[in-house]
Amino acid sequence: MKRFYTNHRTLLLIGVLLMVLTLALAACNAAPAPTQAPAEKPAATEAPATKPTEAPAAKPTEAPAAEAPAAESKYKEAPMLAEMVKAGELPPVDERLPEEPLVEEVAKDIGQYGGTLRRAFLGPSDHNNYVRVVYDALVRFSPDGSEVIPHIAKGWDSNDDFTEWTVYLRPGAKWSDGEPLTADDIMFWYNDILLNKDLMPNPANWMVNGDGSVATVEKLDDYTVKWTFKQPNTAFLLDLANKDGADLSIANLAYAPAHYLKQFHPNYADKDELEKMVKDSGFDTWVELFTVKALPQTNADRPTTAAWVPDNSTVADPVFTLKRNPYYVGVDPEGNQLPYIDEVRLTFFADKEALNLAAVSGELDFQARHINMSNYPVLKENEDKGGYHVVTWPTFGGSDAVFMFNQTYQKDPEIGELLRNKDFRVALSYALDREAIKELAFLGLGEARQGVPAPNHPYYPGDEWAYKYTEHDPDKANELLDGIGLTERDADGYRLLPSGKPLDIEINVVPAFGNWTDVGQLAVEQWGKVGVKAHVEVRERALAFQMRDTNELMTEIWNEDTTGFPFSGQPKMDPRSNPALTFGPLFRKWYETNGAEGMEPPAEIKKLVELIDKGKVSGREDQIKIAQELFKVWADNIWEIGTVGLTPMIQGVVVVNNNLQNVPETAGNDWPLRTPGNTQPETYYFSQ
Amino acid sequence: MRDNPIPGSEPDAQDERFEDLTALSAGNQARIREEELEDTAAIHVAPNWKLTWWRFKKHRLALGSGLVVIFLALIVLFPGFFSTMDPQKSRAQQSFVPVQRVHFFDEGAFRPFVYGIVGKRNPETLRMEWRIDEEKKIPVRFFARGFEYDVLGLFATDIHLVGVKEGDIEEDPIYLLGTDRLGRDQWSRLMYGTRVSVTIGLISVFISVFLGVLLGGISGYFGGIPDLIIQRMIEILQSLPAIPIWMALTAAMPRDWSVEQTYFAITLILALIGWTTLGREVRGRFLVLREEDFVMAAKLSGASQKRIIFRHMVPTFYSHIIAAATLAVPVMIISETFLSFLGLGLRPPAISWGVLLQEAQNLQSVALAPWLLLPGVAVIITVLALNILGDGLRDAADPYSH
Repeated sequence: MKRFYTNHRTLLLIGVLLMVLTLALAACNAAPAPTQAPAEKPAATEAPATKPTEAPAAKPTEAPAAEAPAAESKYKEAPMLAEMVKAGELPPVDERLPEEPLVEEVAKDIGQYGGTLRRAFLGPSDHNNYVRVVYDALVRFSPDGSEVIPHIAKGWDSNDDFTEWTVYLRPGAKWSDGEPLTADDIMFWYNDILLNKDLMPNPANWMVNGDGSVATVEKLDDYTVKWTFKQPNTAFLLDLANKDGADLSIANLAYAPAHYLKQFHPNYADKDELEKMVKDSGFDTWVELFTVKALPQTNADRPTTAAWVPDNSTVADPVFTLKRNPYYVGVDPEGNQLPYIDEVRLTFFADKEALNLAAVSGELDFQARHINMSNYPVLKENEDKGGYHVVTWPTFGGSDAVFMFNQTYQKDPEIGELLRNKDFRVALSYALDREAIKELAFLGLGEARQGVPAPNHPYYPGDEWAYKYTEHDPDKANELLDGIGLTERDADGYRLLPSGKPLDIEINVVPAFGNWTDVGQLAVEQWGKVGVKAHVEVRERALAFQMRDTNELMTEIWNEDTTGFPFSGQPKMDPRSNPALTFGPLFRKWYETNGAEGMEPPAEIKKLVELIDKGKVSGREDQIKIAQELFKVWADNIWEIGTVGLTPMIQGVVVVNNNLQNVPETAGNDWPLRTPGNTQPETYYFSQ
Repeated sequence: MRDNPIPGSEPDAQDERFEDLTALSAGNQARIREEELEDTAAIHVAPNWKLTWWRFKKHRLALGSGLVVIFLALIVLFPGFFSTMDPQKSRAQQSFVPVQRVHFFDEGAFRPFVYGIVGKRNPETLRMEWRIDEEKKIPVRFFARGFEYDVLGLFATDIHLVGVKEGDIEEDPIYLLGTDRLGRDQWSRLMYGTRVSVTIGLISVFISVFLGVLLGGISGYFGGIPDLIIQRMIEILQSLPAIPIWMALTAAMPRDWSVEQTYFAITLILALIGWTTLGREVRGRFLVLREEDFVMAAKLSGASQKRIIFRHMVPTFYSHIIAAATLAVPVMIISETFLSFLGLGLRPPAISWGVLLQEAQNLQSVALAPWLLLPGVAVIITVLALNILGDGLRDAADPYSH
């Protein structure tokens, strides 16, 4: 089966050319410094949105029908599975694979079976670690992030105005317990999860029409399902590519194992039995039970379609082991069933530094998540000793540490007013010495920029916007601050609020991915020089997320990812994103309740939302223009102050065991891509 | 104190002196004997503190520790003077500068200087690599001008113990203990950290001494119900494991408190838990002393209770309190350090030893910048010095120790 649907030749050609160029450049340069990578990298685009019309979903019936039953098996499998087949514990590989398996390209060469991939995770709150390794969705982003490619689903199709989307499943595909995967599994998700008011009081955003009604999903035959929206939806595939149970949320599903989950659902289960199950597992309602049972991260028994499935362990265990799924739909170009690697073992580390130390001593085979970029020199110097090498996958754009100002802050109305004042934010931006931040917190990598896409990305709004307000100009900052009435100062020289109360900006930092604490401390120092007092508050992740929701955070440092994806998923530019962003929790509420609660956004933010909505229903050409416009508004209003971007700070410093093969030198790196999931870890293997 | 000598203290002291004499080396003997002859007459009339001092003087290690503690006290009072550079100022191009060695002799003459340093980021590993530029000698001056600081909140000055030629320490820096990841001068941070950590120790000990003497005194002197209540309170406090309690209390501190508020809260928390041992000891003393003849005498002569306690009883164990307090200070310092190290105590931008160590608690520092662990040495020296000093004081002050 062809991996790319090829009508849109020019685009593909460009993609291929970029890939070749990238590889050539990478090959020329023995030790590519991480800074060089982003320029070479093909941009992540929302290209697929334009493609599906030409995507005549692979004709399901064609190929296999003609085949005579072969005596010899068509596909090859891992030795451990072959033994199980011999022992009669498992059907033969040809029966386990669908009629048309997914053929996954390998980055370098055909692999060998075996081995355990050692990774590390930080405990139950690090559930997305699992999501990123298996990236178990109907469709996926490609390794370079430039397009959506088929995965568990075989293909898709849409009508001319993008209101109808037909998704084709693979006949013969199976869940990890051997049960067939059919259209009923999508219908179960639609009827019994999405439309169930108890499970989902508000249906997931991507399934909601412009008028507030829910899009319809219907089963055309056992392997064909049609989505119908009331308006054109060009972001459908992008959304579908992220329906993989991420964020431990059933809202992020688009198919589910009906045969297994029915026992937990009141529409199917015996009432008494279900009640007993709820009681026995210590829950109050069936909803709680179902939510836990519906995701493989929290329930090892839940069948999946991923390359590896949980082996009697969950994210709550000290060692979370994933074993090979004998029914995985993917094969390599030579017909070897994937994955090559037998087992993925996630080991719990309570402390990030200990995790980094384990990486330095070569105890991890493949890890980018939680590797601290400031440890790059240590990692680099110990490459030989640890038997690994470091690959860098810089992010697509945005900024790797941004200050987000809560536009709906209410705890202190005077400070809230100030945060909404554009001049104040502009002044703080001018007060930042981004060169110093770059040197001290980013190892000199990247460039000073606002949170807009990378220059090689079609959505790039232009230099003027990318570098707007980024020069270090304390005089201008002082002038602006004086201009908005912050003229009185206290004994230490810090500016007072107009009421005479002290002004103190709290910068919330979650010690998650970058060394944002340092960025925060540098900002405190630099803002202090223009008389704005600030302090850094380090909070645990779960607490900070909860405070985002309850509108308690004043300012937060996070990274500005998702700039390549403003029209799908949960972009940082959309105040309606879920989970809530620091940028405007009350705006989110306002939109959610149709203006009944929360805070009405000002005209500029309404414009932002309008542009996003328009982009979702526009064709590619318009989409690019709209995105550029969007990022101009975004950079100009500076609701978030960007610092330094285009660095591998966010999960882009990849420690790779020297024996681990097929890990690409360059790859798209962003949360929507589920990096490294988009690089197809199924095709990684250990050379022996 | 002269009028209320502790019964029996003088003969004891004398005996001890003779014992010690025999143990001393011949060389010292002559000198000591000379002093001895001078002092023999004095011993009988010497006040308590003088006797204590005489005995303390002979504890060489304690004497040395005393000097260290005096030096620490100076740093605590004048951290700005001992610093070379602004402890909070980060320098973009100066991260991870290693310790710069001070050379004292330049071509045979005493002209202290440090060599200049040149840093470059290694393009392969991205590490800042520093090498010494032997071409460039930066002369070290004493009492040089540098950044401006406050002296005890009284006045501002810019004179520092060590610096370079007028005004350009930022261009020709001296990093006596290197710099951290943000290019901040480690030596100056250590000086300011010393002030915070040591004062937390001192103040919290002061508060616990106050509480200990007050509550222990009430308990011991009055007995009965107050004694019962106070003693049970002490038992409860002592039965609670100290470390989790500190952690719980500090964790319960509102996170939006300012640096000063946290500082005082930590001090109070340490003191509120720390007074119990002293309270017990004071109570015991009171129990013994209230039966003594001189207390009875005071009572009979119609002295008020306040006068009996503060004029007659407390002075008899001043020295004991001081010794106990000295021994308690290192415990407090360690507690602050480890609370801050765990991120529960003081937090940046406050500088304390715990904060400094906490910031060094990462792979980068351990692997590439081991000088960032030097604040640990400061903690060890201080704690040892205070412990030895406390031991010496106790030996000298306690007449019953032999």
